[in-house]
Amino acid sequence: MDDLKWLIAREIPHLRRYARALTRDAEEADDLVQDSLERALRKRHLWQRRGTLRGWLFRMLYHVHLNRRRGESRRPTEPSADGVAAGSAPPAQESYLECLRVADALDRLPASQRDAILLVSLEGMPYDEAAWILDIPIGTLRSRLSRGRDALRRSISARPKPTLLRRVK
Amino acid sequence: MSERRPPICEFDLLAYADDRLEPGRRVEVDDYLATDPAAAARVAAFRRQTEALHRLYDPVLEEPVPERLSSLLERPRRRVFVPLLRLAAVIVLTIGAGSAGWWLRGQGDGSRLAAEAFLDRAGRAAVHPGAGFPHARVVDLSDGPVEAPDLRSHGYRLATISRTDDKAPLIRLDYEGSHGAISLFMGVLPRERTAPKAFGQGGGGLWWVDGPYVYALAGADPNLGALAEAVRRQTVLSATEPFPPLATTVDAGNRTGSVKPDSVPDPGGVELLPDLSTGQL
Repeated sequence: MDDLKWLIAREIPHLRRYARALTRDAEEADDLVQDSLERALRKRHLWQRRGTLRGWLFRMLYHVHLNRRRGESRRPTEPSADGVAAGSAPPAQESYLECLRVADALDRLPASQRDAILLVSLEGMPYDEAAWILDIPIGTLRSRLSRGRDALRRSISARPKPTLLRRVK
Repeated sequence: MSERRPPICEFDLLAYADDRLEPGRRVEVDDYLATDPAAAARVAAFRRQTEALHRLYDPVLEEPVPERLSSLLERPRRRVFVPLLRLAAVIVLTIGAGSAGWWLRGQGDGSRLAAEAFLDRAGRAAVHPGAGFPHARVVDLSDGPVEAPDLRSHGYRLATISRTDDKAPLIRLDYEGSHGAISLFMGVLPRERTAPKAFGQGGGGLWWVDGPYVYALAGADPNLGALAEAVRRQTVLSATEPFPPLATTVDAGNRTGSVKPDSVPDPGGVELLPDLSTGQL
């Protein structure tokens, strides 16, 4: 394995995480990552070392994701926990339910807001890099984040609190 | 109640919740939030969202990578592109041979731990000298667009190149010069352990972290700072992102800015490498 491949390989877990959150389907997420990696390998001579390798890979993944999303019917709107960290036991059941509510609320957001929130909040991308990955101006990114996160907040607080919520000590 | 400083806008709250504010502004937002419970509640809600997302999806990071993905990167390629090889040259870690200990002192966080782990590996790894070195072209001064850091103007000549057989690249360059030898290691830190930017010095060496890459320099040469700066200038050309002048304040977060160095006696280059060993990274 040459060194670029090694560097790409170490990003796979992060690409998988973002893809999983985007698609909420483990299989579909790995399809997406696979397409992206194949594309990245074909185009790796274009890797200009402007920006980070990670950003470049995410940009590629997002591009592939958009293409796939356009080509497919919308994914089922009924959210499920299937795609969420499949195979790993949730650490605490009640707080996990709370987390699922966030995921469900996220699912009801416009895709453009959801994609941006996941990139920044989950993947920790700097704003400028996230804007580049999503191919939007940074101001647009900020307003998507702001609108999306407020909508999330309202959406979550508008729903009845689950009785399983962790008790405040 | 305290007076309001320049108005806090929507995006300040957002960046605050995301920990993206520079420290000065963060303090202002802190003050503001103390006077505006509604805004504070919003920020807290934003942070809970982030936590929830991490709790939901972080387990993916621990899953084994499916074979169909990992095999893509293991498929042998006939030829390696030169620009890719260039990347390997970025990964520069210079330390005095067998003197990794200095590196381990003075830093207090994940960056240090990452460095420790890395150097531990460097110390233990068998290094195979000379011929057969698959990255010889990367660092061979006579052959190719990618040069090993050229320290001839500082009186050092590249003597040997070696690397480990580990799948994680670890490359070592030995230079010989008027003040003895210095060794140069090239490596990449584990993804999760990296710091965006970090600097440090101690025990006769200098090191800096740039994203996933670690750079360090050590040796008996009194002009170590200038040597480090020369290495940095040459490697930054192929770095994955622009490296700010080391003399300026380190941007963002809770790191300290430029701090006067104290222990490396070279006026020419050393002030470009601030000693952050007292600061948080």
